[in-house]
Amino acid sequence: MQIGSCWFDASQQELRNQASNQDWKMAPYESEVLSQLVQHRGQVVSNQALQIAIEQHGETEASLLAIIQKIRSFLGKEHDSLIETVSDQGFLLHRKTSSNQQSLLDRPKRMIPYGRYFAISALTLAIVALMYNAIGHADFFQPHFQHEVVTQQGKRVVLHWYATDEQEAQLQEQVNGVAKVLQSCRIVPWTSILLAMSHDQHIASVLLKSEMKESEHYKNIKVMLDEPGLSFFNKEWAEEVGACE
Amino acid sequence: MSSVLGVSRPQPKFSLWPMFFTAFFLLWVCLGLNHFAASRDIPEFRCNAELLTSNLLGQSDGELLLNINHRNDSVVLEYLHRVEGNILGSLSLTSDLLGLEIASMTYKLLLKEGEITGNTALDMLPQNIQKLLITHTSQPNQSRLPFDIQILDMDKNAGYSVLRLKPGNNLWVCEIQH
Repeated sequence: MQIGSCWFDASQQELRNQASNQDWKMAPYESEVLSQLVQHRGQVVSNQALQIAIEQHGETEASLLAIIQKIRSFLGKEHDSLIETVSDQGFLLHRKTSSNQQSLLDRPKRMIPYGRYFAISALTLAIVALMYNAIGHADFFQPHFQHEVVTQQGKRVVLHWYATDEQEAQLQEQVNGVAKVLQSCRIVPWTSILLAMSHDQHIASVLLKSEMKESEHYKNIKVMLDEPGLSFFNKEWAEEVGACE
Repeated sequence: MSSVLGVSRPQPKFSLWPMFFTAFFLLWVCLGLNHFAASRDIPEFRCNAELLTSNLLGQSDGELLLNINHRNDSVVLEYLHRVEGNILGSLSLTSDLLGLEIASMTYKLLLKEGEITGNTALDMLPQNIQKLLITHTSQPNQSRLPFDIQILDMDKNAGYSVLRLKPGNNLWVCEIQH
């Protein structure tokens, strides 16, 4: 039986390297191991089966790994990959040497058992979950209040209100009032209106935004307030500043 | 003697090395992009708002301008009060840029000093800014105010951005300066 550049004679328990012209008279248990691999070429022979083969010849001290290493060494560097170690299973004798077989870039098969693969995947997911929790999450980004208003003309205007936590309860009703003002307008030449009250309720920011197909237009208004709140935003005021017509 | 027991086809398994290398590479790409984005300076802005002092009649009191610029290694916010083309007063606030919180698109700054010129009414400014200025004039070394500039919207094609300044909670629409 040809194995790489060697000829194996199982009956003579001899392995001959035809390239280097070396002969190896194998011990019976060594020959038995190689015979098992040859008989089941292309299949994985389990560690257990090979160990039994060694012990059948009364050898209890010999190490299976040492025997395999010895055979590989005799086959030579060019063909030592013919005997593949299948981790946790056994050994496999290939029919021919694969040219660029490197364990690091091996095909995605025959490397680790399913159990270990899923264990490592679970560990990776756990690490990702821990990292996700450790990363700061996005701050409150959306306005506290967002309302779509339909004007008398049927146009939709989006009302955005950016408030501090302290303002939310107080001004909710007043923002509803702004929405009603817009609803009562005949024409609102804006697509969205952004409102914000300063922290000290001293200044109101009113931002009018119009999104046309080719361009966007803005109008920014700061209102110095005599009294806190959005009560200034009535229909007369809205018409005065151009928020509606 | 051949043993039937223990002879099998190779069981399919998986090689993790290619996946590890790919994940490792992607991780460093993400970290690099995150570092690059977070280390970028705040853009410069020109903001303009009509200032109304009467909330009933919509009576205009000129314009309030806000310019956000880089000066040396600092970020300078300059408020100007302009009436009929004349600058009546200005307030210049110098701050350090602490970083960018990408998730919320918020620039974190630390206000360190302010300078007021002209007769801009102090009460035209947010209260926390007023307090900072008052504190700064009495204890120049102890006035520091952390504040944020959050970018709510940015349209680079149109050249506009909507900013929210916190903790004052003021909105500005600004022209992006290139």
